Amino acid sequence: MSVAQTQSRSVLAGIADDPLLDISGLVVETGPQRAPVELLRSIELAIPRGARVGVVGESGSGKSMTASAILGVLPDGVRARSGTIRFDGRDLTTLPEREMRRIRGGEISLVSQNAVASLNPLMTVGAQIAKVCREHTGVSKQEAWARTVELLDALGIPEPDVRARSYPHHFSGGMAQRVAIAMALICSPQLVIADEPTTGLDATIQAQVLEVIDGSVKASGAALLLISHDLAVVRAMCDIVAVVYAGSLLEYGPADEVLNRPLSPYTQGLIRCMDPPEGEIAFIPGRIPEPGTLGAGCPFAERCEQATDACRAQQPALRQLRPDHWVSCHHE
Amino acid sequence: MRRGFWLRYLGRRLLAAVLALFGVAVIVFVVTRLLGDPVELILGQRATPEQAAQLRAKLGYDDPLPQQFVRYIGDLVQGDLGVSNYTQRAVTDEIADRFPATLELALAGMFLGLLWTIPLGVLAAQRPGGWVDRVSRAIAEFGLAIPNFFFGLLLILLFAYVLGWAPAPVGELDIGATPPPRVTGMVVVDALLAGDLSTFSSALKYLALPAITLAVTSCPPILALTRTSMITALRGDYVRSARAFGLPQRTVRWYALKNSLVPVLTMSAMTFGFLVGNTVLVETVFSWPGVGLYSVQSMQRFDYAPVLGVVLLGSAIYILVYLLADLISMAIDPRVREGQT
Amino acid sequence: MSAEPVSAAAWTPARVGSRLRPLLTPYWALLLLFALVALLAPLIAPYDPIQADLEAKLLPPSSAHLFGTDENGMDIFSRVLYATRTDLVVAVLGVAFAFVVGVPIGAMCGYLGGWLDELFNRTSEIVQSIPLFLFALMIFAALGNSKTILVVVVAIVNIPIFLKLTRSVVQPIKNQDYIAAARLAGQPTSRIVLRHVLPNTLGPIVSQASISAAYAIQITAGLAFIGLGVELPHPEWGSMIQQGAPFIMDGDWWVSVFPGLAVLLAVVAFGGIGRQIARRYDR
Repeated sequence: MSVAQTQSRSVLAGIADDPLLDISGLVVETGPQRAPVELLRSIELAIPRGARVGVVGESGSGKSMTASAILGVLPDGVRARSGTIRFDGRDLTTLPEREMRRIRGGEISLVSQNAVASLNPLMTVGAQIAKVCREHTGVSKQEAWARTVELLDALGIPEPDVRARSYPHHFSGGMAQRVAIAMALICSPQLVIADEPTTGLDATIQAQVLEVIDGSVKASGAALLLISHDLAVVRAMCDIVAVVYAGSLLEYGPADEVLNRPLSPYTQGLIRCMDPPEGEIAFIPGRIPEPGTLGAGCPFAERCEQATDACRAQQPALRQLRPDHWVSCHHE
Repeated sequence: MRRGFWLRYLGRRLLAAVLALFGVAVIVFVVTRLLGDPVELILGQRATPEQAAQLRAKLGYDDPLPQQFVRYIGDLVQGDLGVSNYTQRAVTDEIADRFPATLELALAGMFLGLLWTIPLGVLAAQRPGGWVDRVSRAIAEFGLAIPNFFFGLLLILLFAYVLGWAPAPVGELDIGATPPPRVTGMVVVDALLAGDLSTFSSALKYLALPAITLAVTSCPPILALTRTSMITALRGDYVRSARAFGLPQRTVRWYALKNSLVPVLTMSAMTFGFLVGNTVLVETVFSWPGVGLYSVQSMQRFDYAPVLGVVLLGSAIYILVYLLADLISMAIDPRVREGQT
Repeated sequence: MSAEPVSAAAWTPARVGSRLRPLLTPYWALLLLFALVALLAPLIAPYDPIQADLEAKLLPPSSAHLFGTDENGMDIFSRVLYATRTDLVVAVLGVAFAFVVGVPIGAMCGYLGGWLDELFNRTSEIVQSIPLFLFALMIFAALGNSKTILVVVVAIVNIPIFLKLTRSVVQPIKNQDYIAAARLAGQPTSRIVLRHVLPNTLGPIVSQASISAAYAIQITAGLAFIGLGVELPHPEWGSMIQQGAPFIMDGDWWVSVFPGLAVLLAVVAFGGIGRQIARRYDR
């Protein structure tokens, strides 16, 4: 089992004074009471104010589950068993539902992968965005609508007052994603979580959407938590990178550091896959383990070339091997 | 552009409905003229051969079939459903006298039915497997399995005989009571319109048990469908998204309900269409003077023209209601609207 | 739908055995009870079901008459037992006939498509636009009042149901690889349909058959209630309920209630089995 964190703040919090969000020792599990399956294994994360943190990992690594846990919208049957999520001084895991609802959409908002699917097909997009606005700020219908149209305009949607009266299925991928971003920004949150915002979009549209996110987040001064399996996206957008594997954090640090001088064998493998040396197709042999099949050791041990018995026996603690650069690995 | 599109769509669907009704008329024609003996149908089984031959010639049943068919359709289009052998009145008039009673019963049954199935379906969907879910499914299974006429009898036994809360099943009003002046033909409505509150409450008491019978025995499919649709809707990404934006539970529930409305609405319409045509047994049990009872009485009197008239009427209503449901679902769901280009 | 295709040759004892294991539910027990009653009615019934005894009119349930007697002094318990035969046989025959006609036609329609499909589909829809009981009345009016016509009515009403169902389960299968393989091997259409297509679609169809049987019992009882299809004084649940109806307001409940309960239980049994089969094939 992983080393328990005795403090309620993450070790990673040291990266900045008073980070906006820090997650410490979060365990998320599912399944019957007597045989729970761990989906997030004592995961750590820190997001300084105004920073852009990218979370990378393969599909099934637990990245999206972390986002759901932060917002307190874990699916039925999945619960956060222990750990803390501190946001702006409050522990989200112990907050009553009423308070959480105020935070959701108001202070922390989410941009999901499939924008069209996450919008109500029977309402105009303007109505939906305005509803979120009114719910959190209590302004009048007209004011909310005005703000909605203004924001859609700022995000580059042509004829915003007309498009606001359209239905979600009228929007193409890139435009729909801008709508989703508008809904996330309408209440000027402190933290925007973007979960695979460009996956499934054409390459050119991807670049556009990323630019929109970049510009709007910068303009509003919010922090960004960008979740992606695409290293290139994270490299382009983020200052800090967190590498997640099978529900655990394996590496965390400034983007430049992690992506150019990775300490964890897993990160090294990922980067090799993204940017293989001349003429090679690189891959990491094996597959990400199913939740519940992991033992006490490092989750990557099975696929790691440098794995030793110590690796398989015990999960390594997060150590700060370089300034502001943490890694969970037994090797240097 | 939109107005033109709507008109075209409406036109297409109306045509389809008319064709369907035509198909029904063909089936009625085939069954009664080709499979049965139409003269026997009119005269009953106690006709003498001379009477039969006479009538056959008079009504043109000696003519070749295509000619008969054309005449038949011609009559139908003009609203001529034949003449009742028993009263010698036009079938159309007889049916018109009695149809409001059936309509009243079907509407009341539908109203009560939706009242119990939709809220229960919504509640059951929020906690599948919970006790609300299991109890409501048991009620639904019971309602579907029990014959509606038997359930009606049980209601009479309990509420009229044992408890005395409901009146004896003699129809719409007390025997000998004066009905209110006829405006719609529906006693409850007419009593209300005339301001006759004592007749109004009396009529309601008579309407209660048969309406409850219909509500319990015909509407369980709506419960199952509401539940399933809500469960699907609640699992939708937009529901998770709405929650992720901190919208309150009742808003999230309303989003989900709106999205499950289309199939529920279609099924409700189909159930209503079904109700109007299938009140036969319930009307018989409660002596309710509608077209259902009329068709049974006519069968017993070997007076077959009214039965065929009711068949055509019942089919026409079913087809019409189905069309209406389609149009309403188009109005609600913009995607359905646009899938029609 | 089950993932692996099955061909008719795969009905091995092991397969059949695994299908038989879920028979240990209350619905099957109930069905077995009804089947036994239908078979053994003459042996179990204490009285002759059509023996009138005017001395014993309208007696409430007692040790002598378990379910009481009706207005003619006939023992209701015996009549309910004998009526099981009538109602079950009519329902099962009617559904079987509809099955035998509707399923092959539906399979052909689903497999071949084209104008044949259009024709049968439209006709089914039109037939189904006619309210059930009114349709039955019309058939009885045209063809006369007898038990045979009752079976015919039950059959006609169910043919469109089987047709459309079979069609809808066959359509998605017809493009699958193992069907294409059979076609390439030169097998005639009828053989493909019978040996390859149908065995893989039987689940939902058998489930529907059971559910149709349940409704058929209701329909039979309902038609008998209004005097159609029965031969008085032959015992039949629906006509027995009708006989007891005038006495409800006098408090003589047993004449209608016991046959009514019999219908309810029979419908529950067939319906439950149908749903159980459907659940197995939903996986």
